[in-house]
Amino acid sequence: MECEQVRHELEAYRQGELPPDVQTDVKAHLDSCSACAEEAVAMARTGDLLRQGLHDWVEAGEVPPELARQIEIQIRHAVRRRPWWQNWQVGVVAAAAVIFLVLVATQPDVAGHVATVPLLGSFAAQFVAPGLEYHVDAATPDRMAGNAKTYKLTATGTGGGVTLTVHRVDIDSDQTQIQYSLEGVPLDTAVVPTSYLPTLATAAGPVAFHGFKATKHGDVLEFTASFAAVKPDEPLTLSIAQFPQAVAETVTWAVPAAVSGRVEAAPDAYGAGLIAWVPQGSKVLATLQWPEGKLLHLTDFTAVDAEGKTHAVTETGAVVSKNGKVVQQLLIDLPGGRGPVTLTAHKSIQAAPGSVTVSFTPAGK
Amino acid sequence: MTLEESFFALYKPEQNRLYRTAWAILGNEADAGDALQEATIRAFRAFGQLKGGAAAFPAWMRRIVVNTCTQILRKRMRVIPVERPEDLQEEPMAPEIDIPLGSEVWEAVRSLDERYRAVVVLRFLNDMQLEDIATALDIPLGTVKSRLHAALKMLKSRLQTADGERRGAV
Repeated sequence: MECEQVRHELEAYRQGELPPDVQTDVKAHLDSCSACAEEAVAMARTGDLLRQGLHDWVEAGEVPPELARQIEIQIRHAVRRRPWWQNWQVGVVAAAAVIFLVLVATQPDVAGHVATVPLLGSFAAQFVAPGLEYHVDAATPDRMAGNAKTYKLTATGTGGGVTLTVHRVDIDSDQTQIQYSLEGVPLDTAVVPTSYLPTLATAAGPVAFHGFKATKHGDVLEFTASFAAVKPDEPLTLSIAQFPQAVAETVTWAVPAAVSGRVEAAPDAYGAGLIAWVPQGSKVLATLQWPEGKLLHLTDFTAVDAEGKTHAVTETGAVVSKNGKVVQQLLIDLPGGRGPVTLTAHKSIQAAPGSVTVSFTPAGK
Repeated sequence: MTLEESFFALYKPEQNRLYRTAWAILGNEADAGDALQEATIRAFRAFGQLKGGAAAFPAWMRRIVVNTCTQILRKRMRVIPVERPEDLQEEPMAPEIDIPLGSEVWEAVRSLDERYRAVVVLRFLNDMQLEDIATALDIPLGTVKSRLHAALKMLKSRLQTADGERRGAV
């Protein structure tokens, strides 16, 4: 054995951690090489000093009173209240683990959507600029500042025993917000609202979906859905599709192309989320961002579609910290998937309560 | 006694030690505090499954803290700092006369780069086998050995000078 090689093994040798033959080789070398033998003694002495010194230092420690108090509060809190993530995610250990779901719909257009997914109220509520009549009972456009417009209306349509009623449409330069309700949806499970997903379309195709909130009033589900901005006088079609498999109630987060969604608990709503319409067989790049110091890492990702099929999620590149933000990127491969895909981060490392911003961009075929 | 009270009865006497253990592994107090909080909650949630009773608690709790810390380290080592100028400054050693030996050793260890410090602390404070350190930090065994050797070389002169002075003074 060469001297340099032996010197790398000295600590393992001293504690008998080497395979027997290597242990013998190192011993033979030390017996014949005085320089290495001296080095071994010096390293052993240094190791002893370190061991003793570090133990002394640890024994002399005192936890800051504020931290001790904080820990006590957290434990007592943990006793009193089961955190929301424990209700549906088994095996998550981190105290404030951030677990989120993202819906990514894999159908590129409404027509394909109609053909492949059972629709409720397909094209049932069609509302267009004032003057045209479909199922709109009343439309009261109030001209607001700039190009912003609000339509109060009652537009109804039915499908599959479910009645869809649109109550109000707000259009401004940032977003399009639609208030609507569903009546006749079987309300036997709490997860129902998240399996009824809205699509807003113009003549040019679907409008990017930012998210929606649902609340239950008796047997009526009331929704407020947000989409990307549209031109104020553009004809719009709202469709509600029922996806075959509902997703978890508390956290349904979905993010459309190039739009960021904030991931946080929505305790008074059934869920909120954003959906990206991406062509089948394509890839989606997910960019996760969170403030430095809050959360070190999200890991153990899965992407499962409505049929229970798992799609590959690749963590691309390094996790980078920049300007106080930590950025992580994932590539989700969706080869011919159908319906919503649920992306889940099953574990977080050292999370403080906070939020993760997720944005999605199509990443090609 | 409630579960919570039993937990605290065992946890409190260990808390100071656990805090410094986390500090030694992670290199700073803020991260140590976060890690200790996380580890304590983990431990509390798993407390019902602890086998071996009170006698087993200190080692069990310590293992949870060390695991939490190495998990953080593993992830941290994957995070590439783009802007962290202030982190790179080494703290100068204050020439105190009556520093206890433990502090001197810690000052020497903390001045090491994180990659070296973590290996040294896991080895000499936590008495982990080199293979276990490799697994915990997700690095090859050869890297552990070379880091440890380099760290010991760096620390040797510093510690033995201090040690020699102390012996000479007695």
